[in-house]
Amino acid sequence: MSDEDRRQHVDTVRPVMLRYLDGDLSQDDAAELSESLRHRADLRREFAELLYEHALLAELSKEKEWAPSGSVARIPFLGRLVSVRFWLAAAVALAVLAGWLLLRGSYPPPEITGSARVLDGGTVQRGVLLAAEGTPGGLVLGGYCRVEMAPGTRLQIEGSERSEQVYLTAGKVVCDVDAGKGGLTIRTDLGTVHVSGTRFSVELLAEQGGREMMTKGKAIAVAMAVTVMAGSVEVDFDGGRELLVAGATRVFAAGKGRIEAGKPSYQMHGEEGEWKGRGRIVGMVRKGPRFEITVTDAFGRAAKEVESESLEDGKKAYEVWLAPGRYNVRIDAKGYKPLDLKNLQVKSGTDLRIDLEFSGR
Amino acid sequence: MDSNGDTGLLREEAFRHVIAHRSMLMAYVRAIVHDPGLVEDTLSDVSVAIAQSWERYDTSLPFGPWARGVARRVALSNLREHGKHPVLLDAEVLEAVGVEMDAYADSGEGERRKQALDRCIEQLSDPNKELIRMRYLMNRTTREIAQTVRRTAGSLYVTFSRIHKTLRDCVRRRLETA
Repeated sequence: MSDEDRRQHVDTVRPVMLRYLDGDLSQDDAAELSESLRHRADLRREFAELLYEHALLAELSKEKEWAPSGSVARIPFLGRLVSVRFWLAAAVALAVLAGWLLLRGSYPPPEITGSARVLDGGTVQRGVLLAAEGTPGGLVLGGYCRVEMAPGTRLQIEGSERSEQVYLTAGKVVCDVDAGKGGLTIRTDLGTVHVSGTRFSVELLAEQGGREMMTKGKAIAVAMAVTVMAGSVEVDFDGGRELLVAGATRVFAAGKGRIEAGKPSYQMHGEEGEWKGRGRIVGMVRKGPRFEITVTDAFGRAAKEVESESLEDGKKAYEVWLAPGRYNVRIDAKGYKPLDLKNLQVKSGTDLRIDLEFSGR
Repeated sequence: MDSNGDTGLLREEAFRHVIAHRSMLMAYVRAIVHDPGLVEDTLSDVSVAIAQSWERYDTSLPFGPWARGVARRVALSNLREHGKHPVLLDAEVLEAVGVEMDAYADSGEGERRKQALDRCIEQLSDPNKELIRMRYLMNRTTREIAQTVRRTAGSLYVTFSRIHKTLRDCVRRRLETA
């Protein structure tokens, strides 16, 4: 195996290592990674470097105090643990902590008020779907987030202690979050709003005059209106993040553009040179925005990620080199509904050509 | 010297070793305990366990393998206590990776690498900097970030892989030219 082949192999395995570190790897894939590490010194070095970088990043995060409000309190830095005096300090700190925990009591469970009700019945807890019908309802999370639900609002309770989250599927919520107690995230299919200490509202807007488009019983919102009454919020939308401050109202509209794929065709090139043991997915776009292509293998593992290339005549093109096999391809472009192409077969020494067309914007 | 004084000195020596190898230990613990919050707790427990069993450490042998043995025991115990059962690499493979980590621990350039890494993060594009901030500073998982930025987790793993490679190359250049 040449040095270049080794480097490429390391590049292929690194995402799998990151998956492992995220606890996102199956038993079989972990066993496969174990075997690769057992036999390849370059992969062991790579994994060691990756782990070392994680450690340095964790140390940097503490020094820079970049941790967000609402995150779990951190253990004192090890550098302080040098003296015997540490034991005395730790004992005092533990006593104070124990007293604080006793005084503080347990974390309050979610509570509902007004017309809010659990859709399938049962108790109010994380994971359940709530609805407010006819008149306003309310939801209190962690004792520090008060969420007013306008009539017609549907949401699901998510999140965890001090990192409360709701998934808003329809309607409008007005949220009051006490500062310094924890965070609140309002997640929608269009975007996500993060706060820690503020008052704001999030409303999902349907297609026409409030008439909701329904798919499988779920309203499809085409825009999300965010209003900030106090403090500030961060809105994640369409791959970007925007900070809104008190007094701001912004409507985030969903892209309606469509991406369509042309008829796939194969073209053989032979097995010589760069084609040896490899195939390619290629395509052209006559007119369209910059786009991103993500290829995953049959197990859903990331295989490749490429961006479109702009050609001199204004067209765009893409190419993805792959080992022979079956793959799923996703095409993402800002303002367009992603296009998924499933189970594409890549053959050795062969181009699989799929042209794309962007429309509707 | 009385026995209390001896114990104090031994503990100080133990902590000096822990501090000198803290990045290696954190990296090793990270390979077993995937939850960043639990990594911090476990690292504190490991430092205490090393101090408590310091008298059993044969100082003529390298510190790394012995400390990793303690770290592994503590990490697995903490995982059990928290009811977590993550998928793990084979113990001997993890130790082989740990041996590679010793190279960094012994190089004595941890602080320089950290400073270089900090500078290199600043040079990343804004979107990539934001991804690093969410992943490592806000301790969100890649899947959570994928939900936020409306991308697939698979594509984000590839992006993070590229970012790590970029950072690695940048740090290497900085250390070579410094």
